[in-house]
Amino acid sequence: MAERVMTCEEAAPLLDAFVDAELEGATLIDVARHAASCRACDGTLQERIALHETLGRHGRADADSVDLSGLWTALEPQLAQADARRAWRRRLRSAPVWGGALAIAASALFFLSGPQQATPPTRVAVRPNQAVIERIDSEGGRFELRRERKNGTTLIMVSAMGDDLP
Amino acid sequence: MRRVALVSICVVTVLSLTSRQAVALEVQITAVEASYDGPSDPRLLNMRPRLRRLVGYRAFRVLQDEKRNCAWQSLAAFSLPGGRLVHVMPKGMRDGEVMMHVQVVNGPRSLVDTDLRLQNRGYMLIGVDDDVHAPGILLIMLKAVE
Amino acid sequence: MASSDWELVQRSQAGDHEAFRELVERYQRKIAALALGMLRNREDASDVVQETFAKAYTNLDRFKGDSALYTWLYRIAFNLCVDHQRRDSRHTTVPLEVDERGGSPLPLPEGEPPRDDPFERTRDSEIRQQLDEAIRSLTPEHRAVILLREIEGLSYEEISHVLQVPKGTVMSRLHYARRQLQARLRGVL
Repeated sequence: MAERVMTCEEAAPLLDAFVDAELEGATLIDVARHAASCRACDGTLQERIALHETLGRHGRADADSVDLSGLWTALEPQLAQADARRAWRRRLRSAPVWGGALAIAASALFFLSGPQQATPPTRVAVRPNQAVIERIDSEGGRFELRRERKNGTTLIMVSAMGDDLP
Repeated sequence: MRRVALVSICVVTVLSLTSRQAVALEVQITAVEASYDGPSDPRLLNMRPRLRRLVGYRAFRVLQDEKRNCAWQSLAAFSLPGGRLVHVMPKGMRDGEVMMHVQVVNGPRSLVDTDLRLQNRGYMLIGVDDDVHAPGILLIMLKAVE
Repeated sequence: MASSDWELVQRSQAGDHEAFRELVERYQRKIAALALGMLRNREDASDVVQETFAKAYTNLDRFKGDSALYTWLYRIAFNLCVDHQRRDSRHTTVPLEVDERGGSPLPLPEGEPPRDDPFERTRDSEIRQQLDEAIRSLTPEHRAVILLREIEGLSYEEISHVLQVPKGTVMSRLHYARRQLQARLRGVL
């Protein structure tokens, strides 16, 4: 049986995978056989290999220079917060079933007992750094308010020079 | 390189043993220099991602840190790097929030004058972009100690 | 004998901080390498490492062990890097310094002889500079496939898990990214 000869059109999209050792079996052999006999595809392979060597040699961006000495100290309080939130969710999930039944009974009583009272205001979950700016003024400078969504941390940014704010 | 000073104010409520209402508010003001590069103070490492998101700078260095008990309805003045002052007057507590008057002044000039309510144990920031003096950040933090 | 990742994850899920600390120490440099490669800034990379592990701990109960832990961590880190880049797009970024130690060469990969020749050191420095600029020119998605494949050595399957895209997309992005880098580095390759 004659060997199957791969064409350039068939081999070109597989050259990257060939360099990356992602090909197997017959496809791997066919691409290797084609590259051995095709100058253009072999040239592409050599370029890929040269790029791979350059990236391997110079591309690692010196990760050791990233200062991680304070990482655990910075993480620990965040882990404690996560533990507290998890414990609170567990308590909610494990509330006894009769507690829910009582709540339903109380709601039914409320609706059946008489004229509807004013709906109590909806309580929005309070964020740890929530701040409400009731009044603000700045003499001659420009100012801008920014707020972080998750914790509600508020920033008042003031340009004393009247310039555009950073 | 432009630098912005951020001053952090941390406000702590100290409750007396005989009364439910705190006799004073503990106010902490931390002056922080924010810049685009350089090392950051280890004390601020866990806050740095949050600070970056808000102000856009990358490095944060503590210049000054002061903590003091401030009586209700009384004006307290904290000095900042570059000759600026922060005036804080705690006005009261309501629904878990601290009501305060806060003013940042640079000589005769009022850079920020604000009345605000801050969640108990929380903090906030005031950033001053000022090329004349060393920059500072004002951050208000409120905590309740029982 | 060292505990497996899955054992440490289970202990961490039960609130064992020391187990989680071991995971942090095991993978912090890998995450730092990816973050630094993506963001090209050490302080930003340090922030991403912190945020990655904070987020990982918070969401640890969602990790079911159906992929390797490091691919899951890489995914969190990659998404955080993309968020950072979106936020920072209006700020001027300081390029990653190629040589911060007053002319002394950066560490070479293990096994290579030290380069004492000043010409070689200068040439290496120029190559790194051009490589840094070439990688910066890629979009975050293309930068990620190059870093994960060429630097971190992940398989196409693993990269597809990290980036949550089909394997075919990984291959096409890799092909495009390599062509872009080759075009920019023609003089140095």
